[in-house]
Amino acid sequence: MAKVTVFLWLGLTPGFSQDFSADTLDLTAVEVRAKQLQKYAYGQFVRSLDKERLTQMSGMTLGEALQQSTGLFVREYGPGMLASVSMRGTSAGHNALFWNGLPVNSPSLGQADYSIFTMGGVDQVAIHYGSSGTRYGTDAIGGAIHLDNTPDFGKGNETRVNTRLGSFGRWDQELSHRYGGDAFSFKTSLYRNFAANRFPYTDWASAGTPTRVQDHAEVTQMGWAQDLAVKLDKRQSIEASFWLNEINREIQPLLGSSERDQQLDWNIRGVVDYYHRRDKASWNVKAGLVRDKMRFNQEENQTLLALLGAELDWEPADEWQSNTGIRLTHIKGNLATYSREEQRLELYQATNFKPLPRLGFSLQLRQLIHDGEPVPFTPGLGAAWSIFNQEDQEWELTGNISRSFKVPTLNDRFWVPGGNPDLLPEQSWSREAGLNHSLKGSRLHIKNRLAYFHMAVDQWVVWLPKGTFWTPENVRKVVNQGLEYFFESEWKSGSWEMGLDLDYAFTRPIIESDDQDQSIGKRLPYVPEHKVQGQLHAGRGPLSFFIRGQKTGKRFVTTDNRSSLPAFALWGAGVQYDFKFSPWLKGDMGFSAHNIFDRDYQVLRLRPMPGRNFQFNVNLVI
Amino acid sequence: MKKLTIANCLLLISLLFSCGTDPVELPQGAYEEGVLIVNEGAFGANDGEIFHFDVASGEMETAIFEKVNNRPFAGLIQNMLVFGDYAYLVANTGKVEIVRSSDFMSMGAVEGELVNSRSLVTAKGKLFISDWGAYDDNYQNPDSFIAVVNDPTGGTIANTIPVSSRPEGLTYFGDRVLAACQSEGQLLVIDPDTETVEKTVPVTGTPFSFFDYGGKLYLYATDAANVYLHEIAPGGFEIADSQAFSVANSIYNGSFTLTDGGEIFVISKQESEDVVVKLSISSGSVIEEHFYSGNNFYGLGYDEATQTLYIGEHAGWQGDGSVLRVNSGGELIDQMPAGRGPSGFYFP
Repeated sequence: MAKVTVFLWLGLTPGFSQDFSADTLDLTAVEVRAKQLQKYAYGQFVRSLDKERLTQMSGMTLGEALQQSTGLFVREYGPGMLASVSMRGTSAGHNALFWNGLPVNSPSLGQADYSIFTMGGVDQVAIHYGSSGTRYGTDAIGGAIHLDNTPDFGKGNETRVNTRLGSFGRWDQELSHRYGGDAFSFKTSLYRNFAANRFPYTDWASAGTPTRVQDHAEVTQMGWAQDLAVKLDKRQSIEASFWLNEINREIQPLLGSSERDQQLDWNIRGVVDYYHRRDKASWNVKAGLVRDKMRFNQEENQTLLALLGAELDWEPADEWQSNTGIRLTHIKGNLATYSREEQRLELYQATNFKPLPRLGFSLQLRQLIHDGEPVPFTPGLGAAWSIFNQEDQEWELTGNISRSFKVPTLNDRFWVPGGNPDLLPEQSWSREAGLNHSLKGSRLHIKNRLAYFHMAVDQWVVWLPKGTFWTPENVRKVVNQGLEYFFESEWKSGSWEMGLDLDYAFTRPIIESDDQDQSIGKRLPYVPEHKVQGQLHAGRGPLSFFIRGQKTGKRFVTTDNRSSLPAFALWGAGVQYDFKFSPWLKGDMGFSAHNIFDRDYQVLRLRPMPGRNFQFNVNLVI
Repeated sequence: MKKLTIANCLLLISLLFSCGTDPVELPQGAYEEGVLIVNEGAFGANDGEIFHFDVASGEMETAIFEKVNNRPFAGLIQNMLVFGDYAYLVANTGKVEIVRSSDFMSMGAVEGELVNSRSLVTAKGKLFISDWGAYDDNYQNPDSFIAVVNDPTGGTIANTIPVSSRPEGLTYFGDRVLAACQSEGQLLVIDPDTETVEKTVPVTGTPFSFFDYGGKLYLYATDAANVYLHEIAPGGFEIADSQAFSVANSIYNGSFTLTDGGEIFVISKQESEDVVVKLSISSGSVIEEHFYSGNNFYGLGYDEATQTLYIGEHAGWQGDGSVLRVNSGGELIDQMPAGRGPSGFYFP
C-alpha cells in the first residue's frame, strides 16, 4: 500500500474544508485517485455523496439521487425522462459530467442526460461546485460531477442482490459480485430497472381537468458494469472499468400534446488507467472510449469519444505539489443530418503551494487546442486559510477566481440546416468566497459552509430563427450571483444517533445582454431563486428513519420573465432495518414514501410528476 | 426532551415549505369588442394563448383562456375560428377547444384521435377538422384526414375522411366543404352529408386558406417566388381565375390579412429583414413592395375600424413576442407585449 501525504478534507460527505495539518495516512491507490478531485481545489468546494447512501440508492438514476440528496436543482421532463442539472444558475450544458475521469457529456448536445446513468453502475459521486474548467476542461462552467468506481483490494468476496419495488409499476433489480484479493479485484454488476410510470395526474390541458393515468412514460433500462483492478507490484497498478447500458423510454408527452415518441439509448463506456506511484511522484496514463447511440423515433444519432491522457503528480518540496497533464480527445459524430470529426488537445498544470501550515493556494492553468485553434487560456487561483483551528473547532476562509469555457457542440457548429461553424467558445469568469466551520464535540458534529459566488458567462450560445431555419449565435451574457449554505450535523443521544442536513441555494442569474432587449435585466428561465433541501435522520441499532423535505422556488418559464411556475414543496419519509440472518446472509430492507402530501407539481411546465408514491427495497449481502 | 427537539426541527422545516394560488373572475361578454390576439405558443412548450387588447383603453389582457377557465390552454394554436356563438381554438398539438366567444368560457372540446389539427369549419351542424396526421419516418404526412364531429360543441370524432396530404384551410361554400391540401397542391371538394371526397382540383402553389371578397371565394396559395389568389367557381369548384403576385419567400405559415378595400398584406422573409408587402386584388398587382419592415414578423391582422395593421412579432422565440400597430401610411403607432409567437388577430 502506498504511503503518501495528502491533505484531507474533513469528510467525504460534505467535505467542507481542507485540513492543513498534513496528516500522513495510509490510503489505497483508489482513495488517492478520488482525493485528486479535491487536492488541487483550495478555495473551492468538492462534495462526495456518502457511499452508504449510494448503496441505498441502487436502481435510482443519477438525477433522482442528486434531487434527493443535494440541493441541486434537477430539471426533470418527467420521471425517468430527460434530466439535467443546474449548478449555480447555469444551463444544462454548463456542467461537466465525468465517469472515471472520462467526459460523458454528449459531444453533439453538449450536455448529459442524468436519467441514463443509474446508481448501480458507480461507487462514488462527487460534486465540484462552481467553475472548474481549469481542472476538467470544457463545459465545467457551473460545476462538475464525477462518477467513479473504486475497487476494494483485500475485501474478499461479496455478492449483493438489490431489489426495489415501487408505486406505478416500478421494479429495479441489481445483482453484483465483488471480489477483492491482495493483488486483484473485480466487480461485476448487472441491473434491470423498469418503471411503467402509470401514475395518475391532473390533465390541465383537457376540459374539466380530468384525472388521467399516464400511459406513455414507460422506462426499461438494463446494463452491465464491470470493474477490474490489478496491482502489478508495490508501485504499479492497472484499473479498468466497462459499462454497457441500454435504456428504452416512451417519452412522456407534454400536457396537451398527443405525441408518442420513443427514445432508445445505447451507451458503451470503457476506461483503462495505469498508475505508477512513488513516494513523491505518481504517473497516470488513461485511455478511454465513450460511444453513445440514440434513436429518437426513427432518427439515429451516434457519437464516439476516444481519450488518451497522461499526467504526473509530484511533490517537489514540502510546500509544493504539482500536477501536470496532457489529454488528447478524438470525437466523431454521425448525426441525422451530418457527420463530423474533431480533435482536442489539452495541456494543464495545477500547483499547490502551502507557505504556512494553515494557508494553501492552488493555481490551475489549462490550454485547450480545439481543431487546431486555441480556445481562450484558462487560469484559476484559489486559496484556503484556516483562521481558527482547535482540536474541536475550525474556522476557515476560502476564495477562488477562475475562468472556464465551453466549446460549441457538434450540433451547434454542423447541424444541417443552421449549424454555425464560426461560433466562439462560451467563456466565464467566476469568483467565490466561502466560510467553513466545523465543530467536533464528543456527541455532536457540525459542519457549516456559507459561500458567495459571482459568475459572468459571456458568448452564451442561443439558437435563433433566421428565415426558415434556426441558427446558433453567441448573443448572450449572463451574470450569476448567489449564496450557498450547507449544514450537516450528527449527534448522539443515548443509544440514538441522529443527524440533520440542510442545503440552501440562493441563485440569481441575470441576463446582461441578449439578442432580445426584453430579456435584458431578466432572470434565466428555470432557475429557482431559492432551493432548500433538508433531511432529518435518526437511528437506533438496526433501525433507522428519515424525514426529507425540499422546496423549490418559483421558476420563470421564459427569458422575458412574464410567466412562471409556482414553488413546490415535497416531503418524504422512510424506515430501514438492517438484518443479519446468518454470518453469510445479511442485508437491509427499507420502506419509503415520497411526495407524502400528494402535491400536484411540475418541475417544468406542463410536465406532470408523480403524486404520493411508495418504495420498498431489499438488499441482500451474501 | 428528545421528542421535543425532533418536533421542533420538524416544525422549523415545515414552516419553510408552503405555497398557494387563487382563481380569477371575469365579467361576461368581456371579449365582444377589441382585438383578440392568437399567440401560437412555442414548440415543446405548449404555451399558446389568447390575449385581448382593448383599443379604447390601450390595455392588454393576457392569457384569457387560462384566466376564464382556470387552466392553461396547453397547446399550440394553429387557428382560431369563430362560428356563431363559439370560438374554436384549433391546436396543432391535437385538440380543439371550444369556447363561448363572448366570454371565452369553455363549452367543450374535441380530443382523442386528433394528431396535428390545422383548421375547422362548421357545416350542416357538424364540425369538419383538417388534420395532417402523424409524421412518418421521412417527415411526411401520408395519413392526413378530416375529422367529423356531429356536435358543434365538441365531443368524440364520428368519422374521419382520408384526404390528400396536409389539409390546411377549410371553408363551407356552395353546400360543400372545401379543403386546401398542401403537399400535392390540391383543392378537395367534400360532401358534408355523405362525408366523402367528391372532387380533387389541382392548384398552383401551396394552398393555405380561403377568404371571401366581393362575393367571390378565393384560395390563398404561395410558392418561393409568388403569392397566388385562386378564384373558385361556385358551380363546379374549378379554378375560375388565378392571380400571381411577385412576392418572394412569403412566410411559411401562410399568414396574410385582407382589408375591406381588397388589399392584402403578406410577410416576405428577406435576407436581413421581414417586409410587409401590400397587394391589390382589384389591380392584381403588388402596390407596395415595402409597406413596413422589421424582424421576427409572424402574423398579420387588419382592423377596419381604425385602419390599422397589426403585426405579430415572435422575439426570436426566446420569450413572449409583441404586437406592432402600423397606420395606413406605414408608420409605427406603437408596440406592445403579447404572448408567445403572436400569429393571428381576430376583430369581433
